[in-house]
Amino acid sequence: MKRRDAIRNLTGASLLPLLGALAGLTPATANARVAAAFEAKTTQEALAALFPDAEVQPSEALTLIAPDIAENGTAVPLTIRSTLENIDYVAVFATGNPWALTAAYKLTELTAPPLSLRVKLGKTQDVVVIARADGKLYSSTRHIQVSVGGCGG
Amino acid sequence: MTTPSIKARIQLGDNGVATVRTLIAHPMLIERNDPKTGARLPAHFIEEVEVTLNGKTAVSLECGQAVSTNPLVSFELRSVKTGDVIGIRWRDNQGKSDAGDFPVV
Repeated sequence: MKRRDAIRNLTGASLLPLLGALAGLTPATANARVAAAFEAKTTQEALAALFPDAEVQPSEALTLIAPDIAENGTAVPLTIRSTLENIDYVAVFATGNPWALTAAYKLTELTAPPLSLRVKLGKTQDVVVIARADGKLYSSTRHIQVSVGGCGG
Repeated sequence: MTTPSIKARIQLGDNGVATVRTLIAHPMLIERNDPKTGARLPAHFIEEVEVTLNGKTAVSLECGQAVSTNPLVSFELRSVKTGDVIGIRWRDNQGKSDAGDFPVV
């Protein structure tokens, strides 16, 4: 699948009515929404739980720096950079992991990207970063090839 | 600068931007099957890391199970000056937590 198609699928699917059932179960408070997002198995479900009806657009202003080939999936270094202003939320999704949502940063005016952390990737997959700036969602995707999976322990 | 589980390195650069790298000692176990018995083993992972600057929340990171063992997290803080205190606190899904204060020098 091409990168652009992947993003389009992601944004399109978040609007699908089948997620309505999930939304019915989702408690209204922000904390419970985040908890539900971390429980969600797929990127679409997690995205719908975090940002119920927002539209995501790919952006050149947001970049995810990661190795193209990760020798060892247990610790893949990711760095998120951006030239966007007023970013208040950054979420990292590992689309091929058993639980897609990996990490979510809440930023204040005291912080801004670059942000970095190390994640486990179970297999070769796309990693998607979504940042919220001024109420709009921007995404950046990177395909990471994993030689040895990182979900064994 | 360390506490039992948190190490932090803070580099204060020009115009008040401080680069903070923190290493938290934690197993970060995912929910999985025991390879020998096949029993389901529970997850044990950090749910939240909160960073404060002089007591005011600067960034909070919510983690899923897929954050690596011994999380190494780095970020930049703005408007930091010498003498400020950066607090780092974590809490895991089994109720354990740790916190440390790291002065900026």
